[in-house]
Amino acid sequence: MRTYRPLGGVALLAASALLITGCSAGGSADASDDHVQGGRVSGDLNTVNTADVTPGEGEITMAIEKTINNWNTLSAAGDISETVWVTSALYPSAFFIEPDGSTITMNEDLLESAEVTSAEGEPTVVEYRINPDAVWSDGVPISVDDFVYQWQVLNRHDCSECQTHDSDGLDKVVSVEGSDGGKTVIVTYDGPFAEWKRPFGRLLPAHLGTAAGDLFTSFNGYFTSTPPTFSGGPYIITDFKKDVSVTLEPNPEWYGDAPNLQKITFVMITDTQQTPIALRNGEIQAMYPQPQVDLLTDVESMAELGVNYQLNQSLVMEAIQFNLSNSFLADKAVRQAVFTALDQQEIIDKTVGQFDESVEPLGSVMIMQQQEGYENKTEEHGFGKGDTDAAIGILEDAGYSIVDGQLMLPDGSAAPALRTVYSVGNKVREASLDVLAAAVKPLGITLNLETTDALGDSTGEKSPYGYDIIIVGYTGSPFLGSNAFKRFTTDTGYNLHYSSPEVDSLVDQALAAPTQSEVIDLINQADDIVIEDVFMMPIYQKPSIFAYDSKYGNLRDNPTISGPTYNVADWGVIAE
Amino acid sequence: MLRYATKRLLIAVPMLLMASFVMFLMVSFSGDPLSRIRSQDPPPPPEALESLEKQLGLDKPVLERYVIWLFGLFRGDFGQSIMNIDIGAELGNRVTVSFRLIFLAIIIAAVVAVIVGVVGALRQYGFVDNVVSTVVFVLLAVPVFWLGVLLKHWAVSFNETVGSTVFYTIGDGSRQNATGLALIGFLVLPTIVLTVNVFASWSRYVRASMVEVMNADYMKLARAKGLSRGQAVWKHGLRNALLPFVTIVALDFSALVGGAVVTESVFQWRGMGDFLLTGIRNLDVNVVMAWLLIFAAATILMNLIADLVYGLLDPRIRHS
Amino acid sequence: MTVTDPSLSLVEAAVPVQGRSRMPAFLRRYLRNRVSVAALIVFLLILVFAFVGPMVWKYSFDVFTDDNSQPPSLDHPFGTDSSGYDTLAQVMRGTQRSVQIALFVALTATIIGAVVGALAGYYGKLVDAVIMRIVDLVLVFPSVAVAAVLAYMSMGTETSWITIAIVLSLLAWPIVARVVRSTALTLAGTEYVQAARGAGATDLSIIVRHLIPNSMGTITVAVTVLTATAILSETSLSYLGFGVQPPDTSLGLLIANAQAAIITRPWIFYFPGFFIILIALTSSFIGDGLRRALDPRQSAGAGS
Repeated sequence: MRTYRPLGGVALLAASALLITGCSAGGSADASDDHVQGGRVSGDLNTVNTADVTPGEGEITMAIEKTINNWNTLSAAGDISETVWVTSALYPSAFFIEPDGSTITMNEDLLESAEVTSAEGEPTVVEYRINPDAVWSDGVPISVDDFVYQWQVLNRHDCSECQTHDSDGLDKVVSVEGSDGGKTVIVTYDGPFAEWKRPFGRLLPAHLGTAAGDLFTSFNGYFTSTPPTFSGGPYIITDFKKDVSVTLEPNPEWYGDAPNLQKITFVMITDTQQTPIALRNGEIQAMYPQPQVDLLTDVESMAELGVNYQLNQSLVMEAIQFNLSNSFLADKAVRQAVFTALDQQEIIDKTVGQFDESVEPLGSVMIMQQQEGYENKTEEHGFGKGDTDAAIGILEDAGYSIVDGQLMLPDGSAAPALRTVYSVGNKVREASLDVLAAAVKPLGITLNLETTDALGDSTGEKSPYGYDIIIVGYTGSPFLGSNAFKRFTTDTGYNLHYSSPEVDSLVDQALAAPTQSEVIDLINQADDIVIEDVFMMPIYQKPSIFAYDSKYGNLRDNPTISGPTYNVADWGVIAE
Repeated sequence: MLRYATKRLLIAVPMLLMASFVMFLMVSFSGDPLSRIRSQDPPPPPEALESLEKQLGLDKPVLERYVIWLFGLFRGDFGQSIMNIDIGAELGNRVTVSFRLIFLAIIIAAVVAVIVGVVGALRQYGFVDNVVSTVVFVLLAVPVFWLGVLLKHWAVSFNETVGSTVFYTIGDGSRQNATGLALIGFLVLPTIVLTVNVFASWSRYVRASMVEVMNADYMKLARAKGLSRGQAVWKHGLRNALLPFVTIVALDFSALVGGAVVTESVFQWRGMGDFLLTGIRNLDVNVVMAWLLIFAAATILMNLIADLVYGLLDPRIRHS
Repeated sequence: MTVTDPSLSLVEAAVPVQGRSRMPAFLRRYLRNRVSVAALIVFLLILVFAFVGPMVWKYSFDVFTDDNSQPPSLDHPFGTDSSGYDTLAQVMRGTQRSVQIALFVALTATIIGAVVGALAGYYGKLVDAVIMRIVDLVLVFPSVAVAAVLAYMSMGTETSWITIAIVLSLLAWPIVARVVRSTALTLAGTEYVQAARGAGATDLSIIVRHLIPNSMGTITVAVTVLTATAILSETSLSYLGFGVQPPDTSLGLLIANAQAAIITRPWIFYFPGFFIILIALTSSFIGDGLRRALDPRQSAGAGS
């Protein structure tokens, strides 16, 4: 996929005008619209650091924070970001997500077209036309077989033993059929489905799977344990040193435009603190670490050595969640009072604000700030402003009273203390909860902070419950419907305590809506209900940082699941 | 002598067994190895988690898992790892990497310690001795990890001044297939870091031992016989002072391993130290048990060698 | 720190059997050694710094100020870090925690080791054999590894530092036991002890009133040696993430967080390191001074 072209003057003006009017196209703007200050490069998320690069030349070494032992990114244990970045050049995807978190672009190298052929209101039917030149590195054409394989392993009924990460919507697919020698694929869903762009990412070669055995053996065995010797993308693995590095070189059977860099090495540095030194020493030229304050200061100091960085919002939101099965917290007035008394900005100032001053309080739980359709709902309801008096007013209106600094229930008994849980060792989250504890103290509510070393277990425990209040980080997605479905609808895996029939209905409609603007509208309505119900209190979005040697062009931060390597074939050394 | 050694070995086995049981329990109760996967966002479906649990044997009670592990050991099978690796094969690779580091450190530390210790003893309480002794004392107090990071930064500054990459901070050179001068660039920093602490301790021992020997009767006898100080030292003193030193090297094996764990972390070498830390962080019982077993066996072996050498060298024990 | 530190083995060699009139003599000898006295003073100053300091210093270690990443100044003698925490306050608190753990380990391990070693040396034969096998067993495992595994088990509790201290103590007592045992073995065979037994003294009274006081030299030196060892062990563990956990702080943890800052804000990295070195160094010098003061054979004394 190529989205840049060198521009003539008029085209440049027109492109700039488009940017100014907020048009979110894949864009043909270039790096001259970027703003560079002290090493930090900012610009349009989808086109920042676009540059003319020297074709067919250059190498890069990038640090990743984890070792790779499981190559199957579709499996529960193998779905790790670092593995996804490394393999995105090997496993082709039908669609990828642009850095702005909302735009979903078709992979033009793999597919000639992907269209919905059914009418509105009918079960969705999608027709994919695979590029006739698209082949795996052993010469076998990429075809409907590969689509069928993914459908079968992920749909939850053809391979119930497969340890999958998620169905990606394929559990709604009724049939996957091929024609034109397998180059046309027709996918039929069981009803109208808005997120048809979601599945068929990270395709695996079906023919190699079949050669390895049945679905279970290939999915849990072959594709998991074997470092891929195949590729359906621009690069192929030429060297793999366990726990040390993975080296990619151009795939000779690649069917798209030739990639620029001749060698990409991913070095596994598990201790993030050692990575900046390596960058400074020139042993690596790019890193995409978990952001920490000291790390950023160090990267900033490397600006004079020619290191640039991009600092943006990720799609991960920090939120404080309530256990609505706790009888005290089941009262909406209590939750609303707490959220009214809490000042989101105060938490930000004490935590992520140290890192990035531009972080703003998050006002939605279903749509992230950089995404299309975001609206700040907490503000509308007066939440998150630290208005203690208003909070006390809400409580008193509901029949509560504060006696000697202790909140009393309408029936006269004292309000219980609340188990407030966070991950052990996480200083940032602890600071956030300290702010919350201080905010609810005037309301007569006591929080007992405690740590857990297994956040997932704590969230999922049923008897007894693992928490009364818990602070978590949830990742957003451009697929708003399914994201809301798995988090906010009744009886879903993560959500044990919240149930709202209106939300359920709105989300179901959003999953079947025919256009994106309708999806956004429905989700915003659902979001409004969840915010008003104060199921959880969104605080802020975590930042993401991508640092690299400034001699490289087209390196771009992409905090979505497509990752910064989504355009790895475009990476190159900037031409003189 | 042989009976003594055999007796020691036989006693070691049941003790090791008991210790392994205790360690197995402790690691198993440390937490849930699948918690990372459970806290993934979005979490995988419960069927996937159950299947994973069964595959790793985590659905069985602890005692049963211990017995399974033990019997697997007799077959040479170290058990299933949570990280989806072959523990046996992994151990082989990693031992090689660590061995390189530790072996080099032992040689350098021993040689330098002997030189410094002997010189210090010969010039006891002189100016040189006092200066060196103070330096040694300070080196004994320097934390390995602090020194490692410090050296890394000095090396990077050095590289920047010189304008080329002389010193490397990440890895042991195997990725780049480094040889010769380049390989040295990878080895220098980690080796210095690991050597410093042990060398300091050993040099003190050599010095003390040398001083004791020099005041011994047979040395006075040698001088009385007409040998110069240097000749007496060379012919009698050195041998008596240094032979026990061999046992010290064996006995300090544990300390070296501890230092290697930190050094490998700082320099990102994929050796046994790194393997242990990864195993603990992932709560991978089988990895941790395999590691402890290997090192317990190695330490017992070292101790036995130390005892045997001491026994062989010290006629008093030999004839007891 | 190694098992075979000469400080320990050489004190045991010089143990005459006498009453308690030795005390003033050794003290006098100790005070004559200027280096050891200086070390003792510095160590006491560090204790004051660590335990009294946080009470009087204006900044607390867990509250940030608005001054981010400031180099050392009059207001912040050790500077501040990126979040605005005052480094002096953090180093004080870290030192406090690390010294607490180190002293706990030194004292506990020495007490356990002395008792066990005395029992083994005095009773000999079976008791000795069993105890020595246990000692061997504990020493077989590299302490860093065992400590890391065990420390992981109790993470996240407020008093987790006690767990680390206990774990390190359990791994360190065998070293003391071995040395005290040899002393006890020698003493147990003397005529003095035989006579006491003949006179009807109980085993317990012999051990408590005779063996242990006469091993005090070894024991005291052991405490200092273990302090140095323990502080290095604990800071290593905390550096790796298996020791003291946030929100609590330790010198090792401070260094771990400061690794990336060494070029831009070196004060965050150097100060904690200096304090570790200082504590270990002064402990070693004190121990060395004690050993020399207790050893009447000056010329046989090794070390500086």
